[in-house]
Order: sequence, then C-alpha cells, then structure tokens
Amino acid sequence: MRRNYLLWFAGTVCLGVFGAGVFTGSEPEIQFVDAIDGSGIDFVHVNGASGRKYLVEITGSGCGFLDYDKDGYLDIFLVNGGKTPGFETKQSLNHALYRNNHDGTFTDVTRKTGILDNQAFGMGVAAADYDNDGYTDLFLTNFGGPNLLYHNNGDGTFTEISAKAGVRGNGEWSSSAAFLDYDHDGYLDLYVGHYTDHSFAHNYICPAGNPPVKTYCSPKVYGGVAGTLYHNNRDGTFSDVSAKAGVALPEGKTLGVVAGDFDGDGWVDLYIANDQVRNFLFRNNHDGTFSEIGMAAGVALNIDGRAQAGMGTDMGDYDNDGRFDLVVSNLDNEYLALYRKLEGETFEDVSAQMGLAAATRNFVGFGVKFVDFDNDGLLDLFLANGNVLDNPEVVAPGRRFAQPKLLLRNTGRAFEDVTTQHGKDLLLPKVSRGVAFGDFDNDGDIDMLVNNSGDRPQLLRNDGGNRYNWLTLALCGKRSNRDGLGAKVEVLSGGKWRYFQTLGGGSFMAANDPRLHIGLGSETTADEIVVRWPSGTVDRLRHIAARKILTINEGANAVGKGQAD
Amino acid sequence: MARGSILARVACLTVALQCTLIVLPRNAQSQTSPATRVLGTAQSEDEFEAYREVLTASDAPAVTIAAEKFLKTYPNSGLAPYVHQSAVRAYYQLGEMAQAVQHAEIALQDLPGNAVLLSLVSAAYLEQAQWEKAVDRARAALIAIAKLDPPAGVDRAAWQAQADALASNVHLTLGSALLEMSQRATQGPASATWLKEATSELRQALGSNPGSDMASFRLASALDAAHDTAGAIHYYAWTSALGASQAQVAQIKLTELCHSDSHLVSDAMASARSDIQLSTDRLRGRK
Repeated sequence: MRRNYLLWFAGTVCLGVFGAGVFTGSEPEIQFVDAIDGSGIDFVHVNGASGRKYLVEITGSGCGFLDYDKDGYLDIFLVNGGKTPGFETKQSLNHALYRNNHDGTFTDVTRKTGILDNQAFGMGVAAADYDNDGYTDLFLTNFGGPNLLYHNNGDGTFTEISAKAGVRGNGEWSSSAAFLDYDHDGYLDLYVGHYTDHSFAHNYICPAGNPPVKTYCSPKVYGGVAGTLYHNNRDGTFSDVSAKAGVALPEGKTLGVVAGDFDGDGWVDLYIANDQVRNFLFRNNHDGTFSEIGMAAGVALNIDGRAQAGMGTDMGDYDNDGRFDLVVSNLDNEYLALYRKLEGETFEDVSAQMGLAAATRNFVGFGVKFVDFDNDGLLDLFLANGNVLDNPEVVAPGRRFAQPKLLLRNTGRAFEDVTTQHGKDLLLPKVSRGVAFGDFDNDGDIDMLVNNSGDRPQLLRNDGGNRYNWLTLALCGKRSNRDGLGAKVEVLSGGKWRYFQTLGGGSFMAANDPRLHIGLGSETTADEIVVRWPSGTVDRLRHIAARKILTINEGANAVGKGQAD
Repeated sequence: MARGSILARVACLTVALQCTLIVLPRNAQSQTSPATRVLGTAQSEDEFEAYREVLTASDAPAVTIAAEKFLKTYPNSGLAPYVHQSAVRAYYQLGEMAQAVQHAEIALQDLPGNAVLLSLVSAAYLEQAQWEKAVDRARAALIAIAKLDPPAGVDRAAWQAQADALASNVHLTLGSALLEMSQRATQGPASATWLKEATSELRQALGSNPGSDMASFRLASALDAAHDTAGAIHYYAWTSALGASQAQVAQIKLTELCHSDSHLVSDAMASARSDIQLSTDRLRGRK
C-alpha cells in the first residue's frame, strides 16, 4: 500500500523509534503490481545478444535496493549488461541509479551522483558501508572489465576508488558479491564470486537440434575460477586473502553468494552457489580462515548426489526452529533446492517433501529469497525465472525463453505455489535474473525489483501484504560494522521466538534492503527483541508496538556481552 | 541378417534421439585454452557450418562425404564424435558395416555411454556376424537407455515412446545375437543359457513392438530351437499374420510345424491375430 507511507528517519547518527502505520482491515487481497510505468524508471537492460552465443549474454544482470542518500527510503540501482563483439545497439549501456521521491516515483541521478559510463559488461551489485562513515557504498561486479567500488561521499555523490582500494580483480568474470565482517574487526570485508573462464576470445559454439543451430554452451565446457575474499584494511584499502583464508577453490563456477552464520557460532560463514559444480559452504574457523564443508554438510549436491546449476541463493529460518536453512535456485529439470538445517553442521534436502521440487521443476530459477510477503510470520519463497537458452525449443519443444515468476507460500507444512493468486504481473513471462527485495515504499511489506535480461525491469509493489502486522528493524552498529551485518535478531511475539540475521549477499547478483523485515501476523507487539551483534554486544528491547520501522543502535539497550538472558 | 528391417528402424529412431541435444558426458572437463577440444563444441563458425553440412546432408551418401570431409578438416573437433555418429548411421543405411563399426568405435571412445551409438554398433556387429561383440554392445546400450533422462519440457510420453522403441530394437539385436550364438555353439550349458536369454530378449522386443515381424520370427525360431512347438507355431503364425518380409518363410515353417504337431494353421493364425490386436491395444493404452 502506497498511501500509508511511514517515515524512516536515519540521519548521520542512528535515531530511535519512528513511524506508525494504520491498519484499516479493509485492504484488498495481496497483489504484486508492477509499478514501473510512471515511476520515472526508464532503464532498459542490454544483454548484448549478438547471435554468437557468448555465455555472458544470458547471465546478467543484477539490481539493488539501497538508501544512498540516507533519507529513509530505498533507492534503486540497476546494473546494465553491455556490448559483445558483433553486437550493435543505440540503447544506453549504462547502469542507472534512481533516487526514491517518496511518492512512488524515482529520479535518475546516475550522472549527478558520479556513476561512470559502463565500460564493461555489468553483472552484479553489492551495497554496504564498508568504511563505517554512515553512508552506503556500492560495489559493482563485471565481465570483461574491472570491478568497481563507489565510495559514497555523503553529499549525494560517489567516487570510484576500486584501483586505490585494491578490489578491481584480475580480469575474472565476477558475479555475485557479498559484504561480511568475517574477522569481527568491525569493518566489512568483501567476497566476490567468479563464474567461468569464458571470455570473448575463449568462446565455444554449442550446436543443438537437427538441423543444428547455435545455442549457449553449458558452463561445463569452461573452466572454473576461484572466488576472491578481500580483507578490509580499515584504511580504505583491501587485501586479497583468498588463499590464506582457504576460499580459493579453482573449480568454483559461482553465481550466487550469501554470507550468514549457518551454525550459530556467532561468526559469519559463506555459502556459494556454483553452476554445474558442487556448492561450497565455507565454515568460519574464527581465525581468519574457512573450511569448505559443503559435502559433509549436505549442501553441495542435490538429493541424487548430483551437482545442480546453482544460480541464486539465500539463507533463512523458514521453519522457525532457530536454525538457518539454505535455498538455491537451479535449472529446469532440476529443482529449487531447500536445505533444512539439522543439528550440528548438517542439512537435509527437503525440496521434494516441502513441495518445491514439483513446483519448480519446469523453471530456470535465478533471483530467490526467503521473504514473508504476507507478514504471517512464516518465510515464503519468491523465485524469478527465465531460461538460459534463447532458443530452448530446439532442445525441448514447448520450452520458452521467458518464464513467469513463482511465489511459494509457506503453509507451515509445505510451500504452495500461489503465484496466480497474487497478481498478473507475476505471471508475465520474462527473462528475469537479479531480484532485489525490500520495502521501497516503507509501508510494511516486501516489494521486489527485478532486472530482466534485454528488457525493462519490474518494480513489483506489494499491495496488501501489510494487512498483518510487521516490524522493520534497521540495525546500526557501533563497535560492530555500521550496517550490523552478521547480527542475529530474536523476536518473541505471541509466545513464540523467531530468528533472523542480517545477511551479506543473497538472491542473485543483488543488493537487498539491509533492514530486517519481520511479519508478526495478528500480534500487535513484539514482546521482546534480542539483538546479538558481531561484537558480542547484546541488546534487548521489550514491548515494541507493531507496524513501525525501528532503528536499533548497538549498545543502546545493552544487557551484557554474549548473553541476553 | 535382414538388414532392412532392424537397421533401418534403429537408424530412423536414433535420428530423433541423437539430434535433439548433444548431451555432454558428466565428466566433460572444462579447459583453459580456446584451442582445447571440448566435447559438443565448435571453436569457430566454419567448424560449426561444416558440422551443419553433415547433419543437413540430403541422403546417406552425402552424409558420408560431408562427415569424412569434416573429420579430415577438423580431426580434433569437439563435434567429431557426433560426426562419427552421423557417419555410423549413414554407412549403416548403405550396408557398409565395416565403416559403420569403425566410426562407431572411435566415437565410443569419447561417448562410452551413448545409448544411440551403442545400439547402432550392436546392430552393425550383428550384421557382421560378430555375435559376442553385438551382445556386449547391446547390453551396454540397454544400461545406457535405462539411464536416459528426458530433457526438460519435452512431452514425456512421446519421449518415453522413443526410448522404448530404441530399447525394443536393442532387445531384438541382443536376442538375435544370442540366438545365433546358441545355434552355433556345441550342445552344453552355454548354449541352453543363451537360448533362454535369447527367448527372453526377443519377447521383450516383441512386447514393446508387436508389429516387428523380425522379433516375432526370431522368437518363433528360438522357441522352435527350445522344442516349444506350441510357442513356435504361435509366433510363426504371428509373423505370417503381420504379412511383412518374414511372412513367407514363417508361413512355410508354420505349415511344417502344424503338420507335424496336428495343429490347424487356421486356428494358429486366428489366435495370433487376436494376440497381435490385444498387444497392440495394450501398448496403445499404455502410451
């Protein structure tokens, strides 16, 4: 609902509790409405489809929600693709940054803010305050050019500082990236996933059909590339610590990254979705190193022991048992893999029993996230789809390049495909890639920004999702990193505890709303909120009324270090 | 061997199964150099066009010419195994079994689990009277067929029907080769085992393709060899009722057996026709 905008004040210092919504009880059924028309967003993605079937053409791109100007409203960043040999276009190849005007419209501020013309083929975006100056910075991943780090100057402009910061990379094809504070020094480090060793010079042609036509090759034909972990030196520069940290596995063909604490030890781990290669789970050893335990943990392969085509990924506690589960989007003929966390360090693939394998088998999934779209207190799943072949009918008659999205409602026992009930705009076939999740209109429900390959984006506004009560928590670290990434939040309402984390990465090449969104169902208050910060500080708040955006400053409600109870 | 019946069907079916998608083997390895050969890929537009010429050649002789040219020009192509596969089918149709086998064995080095290739080469070995090799390849083909997964989005029933038809042909090849082995072996346990296996394979072949006169004829022969006269009469009658290439020989055998076993040919024919109808209806219903 757009009419009940809440104000979210967050100045140069983090402020307290603001905002109050009005629940009239007469809201319509939840509908996702594409609000792109009339929004002022005129971005069109360029995928560089040249007819030569360069793999990069069907891979990107991502998008992001970020509040670059600290006005309390999420702005929008859309990553563009770019040119390929033999491809000509008159369309703009540039990325776009749109400032939120607080009324459902946006203003293109790309040039004004100093975002440079796109000289490469854009892939993904990550956004966080890496230097703890209170302003959200931007990191862009690229193919065919260096990655870029835009430092937010705090005056509505950015300065590109990747060379000085040491995060340009070495020409790898970079995909998803995630900020995380893996060593608890209070500064955000950066993990950058790399896809394959494909380049314009290193390209294969893969025929299919009879008579044969060219199709995009499987990533199997290309080599893997190790991801890069950059340690934040706290002086505006980063150091590549990939090898030392144990994350430089050369077989990786990474498309999705999520940084979160899967084992509850208070240290952020990394889960890496690889395409046609086993997924990696890097467990944080608390000493600056990681151990890759994906196979032992049961999150490397599918239930048949096969590597799937990992695209997007996310972490969340869908069953409210206090353990954080993982989801990975994959190709059609595979399935959206849901790994339920068990005791210790292990997971089980529950995709089939939770109804996801059947619901997703015909879809090529990309952007994916656990999201409580109806605020009923259970994390649902949203999946954006689109084939990886622009001529899939050659391989499988009846298949289409563009595909509808999937909204999968968590019933508590399984996930149910409810897409058709929640808006025709979800059903429009698109070649969707990156999806950013966030409450851009601050009305208490989660909206989605979808970047569609070679097409206009969709701004899927959630209308009616705020019928149930909610809380949005904006964490502001003091001893911990400013964004509070890696914090764990426990919420008691209606006699039940639920568990959340502020994650790095998630979805596909996307930057998501950094705030935690908590559906409260019909509960009008959160009886207790416990925030466990990466620094060890624990804050406890009691009796928080619902339907507000709440900023929680580290230490402002401290109850001790390490223990809340 | 009557090449026209088995081999033409195998060749025809394999076109459908082979060319919808070049499926990379699970162990296809990526490479770091553009010059490195990767299965299923071309490294240049010219190479792709040459491959296209092979697959779009107008007839079997044209396929062999285009294939040999491709293999000479691009000996290390990642598409070479698939070109060899096209050559196998073409040489097969032309009755040049030695060439077909040679190309097939080269292709199998890269595609050891390729069901289509295995089925083709097993049939070629059968034609060359290399029974053991035919059995070996046919068994491998059946294992490969059992592992096939339909690509996403295809009509699963139609795809399964194709796979079943391919399997039926392989059962026929396998049963035929085992029957030949049993007939050429000296009396003993091996011969009896082969004959039993042959009967089983031929029953499977006919079960999934009741219209195969070659399967019914060979099944009749196998049952005859096993002294199951009633069974032999039934399937000779079946073959005769189908009225295809084996009908005349089957009719002679049927008449001989009926005469020696006091059966009426007309009764046998009526029973066979009824069973053919039942089997066909059952199969149609399943599909």
